Amino acid sequence: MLTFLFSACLRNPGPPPAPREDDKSIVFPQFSEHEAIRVGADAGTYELDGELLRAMTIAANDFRSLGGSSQPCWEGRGTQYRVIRLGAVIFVYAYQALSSCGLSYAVADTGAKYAISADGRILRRVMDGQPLEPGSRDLLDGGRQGVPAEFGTSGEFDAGWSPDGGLQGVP
Amino acid sequence: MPPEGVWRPRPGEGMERIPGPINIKGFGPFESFPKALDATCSLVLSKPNAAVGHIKDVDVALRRATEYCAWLYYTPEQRYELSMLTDLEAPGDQLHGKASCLLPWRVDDPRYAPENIKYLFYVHNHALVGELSDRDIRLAVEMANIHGWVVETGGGRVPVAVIAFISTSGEGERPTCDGAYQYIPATSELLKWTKTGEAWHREKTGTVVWHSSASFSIQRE
Repeated sequence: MLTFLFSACLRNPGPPPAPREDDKSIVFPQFSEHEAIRVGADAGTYELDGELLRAMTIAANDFRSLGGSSQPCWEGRGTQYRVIRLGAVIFVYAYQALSSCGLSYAVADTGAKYAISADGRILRRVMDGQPLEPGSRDLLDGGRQGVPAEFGTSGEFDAGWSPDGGLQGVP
Repeated sequence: MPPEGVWRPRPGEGMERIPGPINIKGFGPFESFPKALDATCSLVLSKPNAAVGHIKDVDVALRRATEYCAWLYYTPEQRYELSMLTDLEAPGDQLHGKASCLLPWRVDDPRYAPENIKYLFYVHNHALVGELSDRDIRLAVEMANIHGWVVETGGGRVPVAVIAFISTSGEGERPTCDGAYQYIPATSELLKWTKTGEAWHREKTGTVVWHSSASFSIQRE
């Protein structure tokens, strides 16, 4: 227990996480829809305003407060942040990218999406693996929309799929 | 001690390969992958804190949520086996918080040469019953690039996939396997599975449209 507290203190020297609201009317953009411009990947000059910087700092502090590894790389280049500004809301997706630390594992669900107001409030946070919509009991609707099938099978594949679509077709 | 069937490497033990098959007597091997997945869903969701959707306080649920992951693989004996489960979040780190798990890319099944093991499904649970994340979708493509997009089995060709099991039963003590989400990179299908009684129903919920090897969008049905 002592080790845990000590480690936790070491890992979280920053300010406490910002107060968090849970505005379910906020719709997150698709963070993977466009290739991101990697800031610092070249010698270019970039400029961002204080609101954007504050939003990213708030997201980073909150993400770190969730726990995980105390290894320096994970807290450094092993954590990546994508940011999209839509009007008065700044959306940030924080996630761990182990390959940046030279680690190669099959790993999913390492991120969290944030919607942050220009004045620095977390309007909504959704972790990977957390439903976007409330009411988990209704998610599966008793299979009313589905067709009987053997678990794990693909309707399109079994109907005679050919390798024209999917990522295999991407140049 | 980890729960039965869960592997956590001892200090100094490598994490390059996860042991298989799972060391639960009577669990597998299976003659078909649907049967193997069905049994795996119930097994994974029976593990501590694998299903916390019944907890009303989201912050409490997030703190408790534990994600387990494993490989479902096909052997030269034409059987389907499950590797050990793991709930590791970081090498050598026992701290918990983000409900993710690290799975070595390969299984160490001493009965077979490594090249004779075929990887079919990356299986895990979504303790909070959410859909597949962007990271899940990218992981499925990584898996396909490493292990192949389609696997030849004695029962025919099978497209590899990532699957997340969920329980919506609301019974915290004994969560049941009620459904799953699946992404199949070969066909770009996003599927939602529902289990009613012993029957499974499949619904296509969307298609992943890849714009490049690094960007995609999801078209909902």
